[in-house]
Amino acid sequence: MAKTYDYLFKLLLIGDSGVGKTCILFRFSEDAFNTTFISTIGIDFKIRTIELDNKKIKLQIWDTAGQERFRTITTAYYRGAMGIMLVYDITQEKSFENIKNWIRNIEENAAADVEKMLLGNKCELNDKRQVSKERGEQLAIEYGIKFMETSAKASINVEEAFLTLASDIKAKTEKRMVLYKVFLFNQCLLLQEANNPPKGGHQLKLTEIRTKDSWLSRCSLL
Amino acid sequence: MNESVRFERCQQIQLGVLTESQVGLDMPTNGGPESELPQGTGNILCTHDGVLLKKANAEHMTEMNTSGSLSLVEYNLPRRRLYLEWQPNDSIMIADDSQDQGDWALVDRISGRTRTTSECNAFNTKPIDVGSNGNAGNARNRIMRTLLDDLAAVEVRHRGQTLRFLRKSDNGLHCEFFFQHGNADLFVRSMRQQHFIESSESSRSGGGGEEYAILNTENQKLKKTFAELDIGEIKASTLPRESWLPNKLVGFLGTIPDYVQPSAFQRSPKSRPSTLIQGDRQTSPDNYQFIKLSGSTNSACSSNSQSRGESADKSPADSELENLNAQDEKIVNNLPARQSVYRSLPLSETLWLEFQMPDGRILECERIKELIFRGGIVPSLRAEVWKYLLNYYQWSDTQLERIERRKQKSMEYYKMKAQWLAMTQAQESNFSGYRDRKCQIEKDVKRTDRTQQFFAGEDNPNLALLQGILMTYVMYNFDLGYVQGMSDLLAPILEIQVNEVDAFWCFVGFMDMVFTNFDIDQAGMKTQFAQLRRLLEVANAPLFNYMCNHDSDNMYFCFRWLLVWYKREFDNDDVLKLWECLWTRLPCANFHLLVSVAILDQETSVIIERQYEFTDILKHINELTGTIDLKRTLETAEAIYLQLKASEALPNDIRHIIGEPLLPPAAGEAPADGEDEETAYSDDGFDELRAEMTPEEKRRNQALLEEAFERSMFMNHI
Repeated sequence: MAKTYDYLFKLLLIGDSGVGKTCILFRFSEDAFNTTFISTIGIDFKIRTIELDNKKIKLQIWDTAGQERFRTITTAYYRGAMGIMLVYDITQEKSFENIKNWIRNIEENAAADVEKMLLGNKCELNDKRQVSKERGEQLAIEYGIKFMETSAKASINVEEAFLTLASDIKAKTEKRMVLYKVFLFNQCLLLQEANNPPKGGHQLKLTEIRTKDSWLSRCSLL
Repeated sequence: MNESVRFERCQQIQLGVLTESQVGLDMPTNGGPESELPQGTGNILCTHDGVLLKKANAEHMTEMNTSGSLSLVEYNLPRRRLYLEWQPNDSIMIADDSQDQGDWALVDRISGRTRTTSECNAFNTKPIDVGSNGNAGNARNRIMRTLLDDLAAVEVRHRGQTLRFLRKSDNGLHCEFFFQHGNADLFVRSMRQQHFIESSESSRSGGGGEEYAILNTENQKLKKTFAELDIGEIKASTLPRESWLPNKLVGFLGTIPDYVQPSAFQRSPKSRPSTLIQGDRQTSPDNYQFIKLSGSTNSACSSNSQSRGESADKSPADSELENLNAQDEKIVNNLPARQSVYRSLPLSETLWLEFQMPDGRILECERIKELIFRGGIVPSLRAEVWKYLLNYYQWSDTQLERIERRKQKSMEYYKMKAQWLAMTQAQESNFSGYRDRKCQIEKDVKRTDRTQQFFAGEDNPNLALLQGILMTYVMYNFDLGYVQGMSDLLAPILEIQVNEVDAFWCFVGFMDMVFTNFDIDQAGMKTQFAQLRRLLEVANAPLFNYMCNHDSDNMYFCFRWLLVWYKREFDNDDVLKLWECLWTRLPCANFHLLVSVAILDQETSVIIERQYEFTDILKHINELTGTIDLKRTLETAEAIYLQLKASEALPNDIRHIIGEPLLPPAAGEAPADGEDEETAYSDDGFDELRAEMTPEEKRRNQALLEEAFERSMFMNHI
């Protein structure tokens, strides 16, 4: 079967129960909104392929149950994620406060360099707002991640948010691929050197190559 | 500096440079008064945590009843010596594998049990570098270390939980250990496999325990050499199989006297299923002992040879395919053919009346349950009969008693409801546990079954009922509180009962059946995954094997099915039918797992033919919603149940899952004291996954056996 895409990115939506993770996903994948939504049990994902700089990117977006009780399950899915959307509800102070717990959860369970983004959802409900946009921005700056206010219902910024996250991952991936190629080239040189040690030069030990190995394993999370 | 040394070592382990056994103890190099003690790095040959020191020399008085780890350590300096070492827990470092644990932890239902669930090497537990810093130096003094050569024998007592070591000098007790978690089987087995001990003659007549002689160094070497020749295996394996080996050789092998075999072959000590864990299943030559254990009953061997014989008759292409699926074939062969099962009509009002006595008591409730299991209940009777199924009404109650009971329960309900209704703002703001539960309920009530007529529309008063019942349940069982999924379980009940009090008590009855689904650590769900995995392995080997080969055998994709009993998979009407069937707890309490097996059964070809990976399977399963045929599923589930039940060689762990009486242990291996099989099964979370030798293990062992066979053949030809 021919590959119909250039990249496959696995993304994850996390955040408190009821902040609108499923709705955001539904808006992005089907461009629709349904008021009679049901709570997510377990885990599910949706696929949408986008195009960035002439590259087809298949986004596999995982939607999780928000209640703390289910974290033992949902964290099992963190591992392969390349990007994580942290979602809170601007009308629910508590869901915003919990973002720091979710960040901690990510740090404990996801890859260290996973791309993150903060979303303040339900921004169409301005009259019920409990969390100002500035606070959202401030928190994002603190964690060094990007931030947007979104509305799945009014279709505000949902598309933009995913495209931003995807393009950040793409940039990182491509940078890594360059590094990886350079590394492969270097390793070839090293191996060559190891096999034919230059006269008088120092002998390359196996351990040195092994050290490079570990570097490889760190950077080849493609 | 010491810190950095240790760090480096950890790194090396991660890189896989050092094998676990090479990680050892760094002994101080100064000789001093302890020059008798070994120096350099010790190799840990086997180790077990959670071992209490029960009896020992007085100098170890302070460590008595402390938990620690017991190991056999080999030192090569100044010369090769084997030591039995025990060190208390606080000097043990548990390698942090929390990040590396690819999957969920294994089921651990024993509360308060720590991470030291180590069966030899299973959990990366290693002693710290003794002597690398002040504290550890202190710990070194607390290590109890005995030269193995100074010991004469090991006794296994108290159902394998106690190990007693006897001195050589006077045959008196040297030390005694108690294995807190599981038992000493693994430790003993490991010692036996490495030929440090052999079971001694006297143990056959001994009083209720095993006894092993400790071999001296020379003996160990000799036994090892014989063991590597695999003579015992050659003998054991040739006999039942068709001979593809020259007759002369068979004859020769047959004449090898038994005395050249390590005595471990002659007699297999009581083997509990739980002792089969990862450590033993690695492909090491030592595994031959298990082959012997399973082969000794002859059942595994013969059934396998039978299937071989069958496949030989078929075309080469066929037989190749079947060799690939040898295990499937074997299992399918082991289960009787699946019979057709048909659902009947629902319990009708006339029939229901027939079971009622004039005073209102219900006769033959088992018969009624069976009727409900077969066909469900007509809608008009549901409200009444569900109350019985959900343990709200008692079958034996008369009409008057029922009225009284309902009155009582009603009072009880309103009392609990009043408790949360009376909660003031201030109380609530100071009570985060309550607030969180309330908040979660509010979020979920708004999105539960809103497409159902009963809950549809804005400001539907039934939503308030739903919320009120869930809030009252929080007061009824605050620890469990409210977990997502519960509103899904309550909604159909409320819709049928309508009355708040009745719905609440029916819901309580339902929750009593499924509360472990909502465990804080999800232990109940994990147990069910393990059970479902085993059922699938036996009932649908092709799919099971496929899933194993595609990293999907964790069964995670069944999470939603099991959490809310298929509520999200069927339309409302079917959910009611399914639940009333499952509430009868017929034919076994785990019938809901067989429903999963039945649905997967219907999807087997799709999953395998389309070469689904884990994500595809998950997607496919999630998208089955609304497409599953309930009638067919229930019929298949029952047919599979009957198949399993009729199978003669059904392993005990499967019997346990489907509620069949367990088989007694194989003859000759009966435990000396008539111990309770039930407790032997449930005292260790491992059992759930490792109980009995699975067909997969049998196959692997068979492969090992053949490999050992060929190796020995090769040696003979040389």
